[in-house]
Amino acid sequence: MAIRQWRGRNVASDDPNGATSGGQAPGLLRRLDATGVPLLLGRLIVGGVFVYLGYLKIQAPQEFLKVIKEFEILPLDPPELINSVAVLLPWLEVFCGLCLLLGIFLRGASFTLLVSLIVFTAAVALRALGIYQAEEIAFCAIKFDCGCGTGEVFICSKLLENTGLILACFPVLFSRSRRFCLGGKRPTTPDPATAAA
Amino acid sequence: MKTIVSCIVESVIVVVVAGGVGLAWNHYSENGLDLNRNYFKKLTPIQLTQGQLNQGQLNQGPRTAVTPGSGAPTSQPDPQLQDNGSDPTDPNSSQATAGDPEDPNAITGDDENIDPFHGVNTMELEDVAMYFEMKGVAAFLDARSRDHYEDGHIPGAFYLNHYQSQRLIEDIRSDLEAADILIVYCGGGDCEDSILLATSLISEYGFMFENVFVYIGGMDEWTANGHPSVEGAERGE
Repeated sequence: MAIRQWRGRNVASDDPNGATSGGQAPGLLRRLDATGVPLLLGRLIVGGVFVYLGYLKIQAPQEFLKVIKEFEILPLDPPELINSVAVLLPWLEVFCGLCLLLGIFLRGASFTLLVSLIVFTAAVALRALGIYQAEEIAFCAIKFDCGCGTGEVFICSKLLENTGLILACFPVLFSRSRRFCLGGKRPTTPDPATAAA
Repeated sequence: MKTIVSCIVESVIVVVVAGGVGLAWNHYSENGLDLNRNYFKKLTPIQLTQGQLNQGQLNQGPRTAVTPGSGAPTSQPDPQLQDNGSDPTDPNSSQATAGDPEDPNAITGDDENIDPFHGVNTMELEDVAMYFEMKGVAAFLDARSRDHYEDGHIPGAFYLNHYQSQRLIEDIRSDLEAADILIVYCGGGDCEDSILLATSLISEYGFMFENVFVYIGGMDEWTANGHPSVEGAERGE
């Protein structure tokens, strides 16, 4: 039985599903992950959405700047901060989305998008809560431009969408598979000790 | 541990490369933002007070700015603006529009909740329509985006998107200086681009406070009341 290394640990390689040398069957999640399908779905969904939304915002940086200002998270003075966010954030979204679609820098891109999703979702939720408390209307009737690039949206649906995107980031972030990726397979490094034996 | 490190390294690479591309695009793009510019500037209390004092002095002459709703410029000096004794730091003071005897006090730049127009002169539909009919007296400025302008604008209005005004103003400056007053509009309602552009005209581009007005109702009200509009990139005089 040949030994190969997986993430720095020796793993038997006879079983294509990655069974351990002890003969135990891998869990369902690991087998599912090994197919590469969850990773591919996560990459396509998250990458596609962010490339599209980032592109929309790149076309109209002034509109995005106005939306950021309405959230009242960033100070208007000095202007370099809020202006830089308005310029750079859409490009970050597009670039990370492309990385996911191509299958390169997967962990870095998905981690970056996950952080931005969590921050952005929290900001939208807080703003919606503020409107809900101030205007006493039904929470799911609240509608405003959340800065996604698609104009005004109902906040309930936006929060659900973002929750779905956050969940879709996890298979990309934690997957061990590299199937269907330009980044390719993880390199195999023979263990010198076993090779000598 | 290695996984965490590689994740952080990849994130840094992605952020740096995306940031570099974004800055380069912003520098060369027509739609790019000026990173150093405050696009949401308000008039300072000194500018507001001085502007309103100048306006009061102008009221003594044969031609004055229009009192909203009056339909005609007043030639009588406004004694309250002449000797208003107003305290620009008084948080209870309210907006003073051109020649308005009921609200003589200047406002501070902090009174956003009291005055959504940041102290800039405003004008209602009736007076805007009057100036529209008086060809050559007023210059209309459309503060919206290019797409909105081309979808329909007041005939003869100049395109001067607030966020690109630094690039556009010099091409039309001579036309604006030839006009007696400038009337700035955007969509109306919650749109504040007209207010921000009016503030820029006064504080950055050197136009007189008393000559700059914001049309409150905007394009939505203009077209809803049956007034003419033209489509396309041309001014449509």
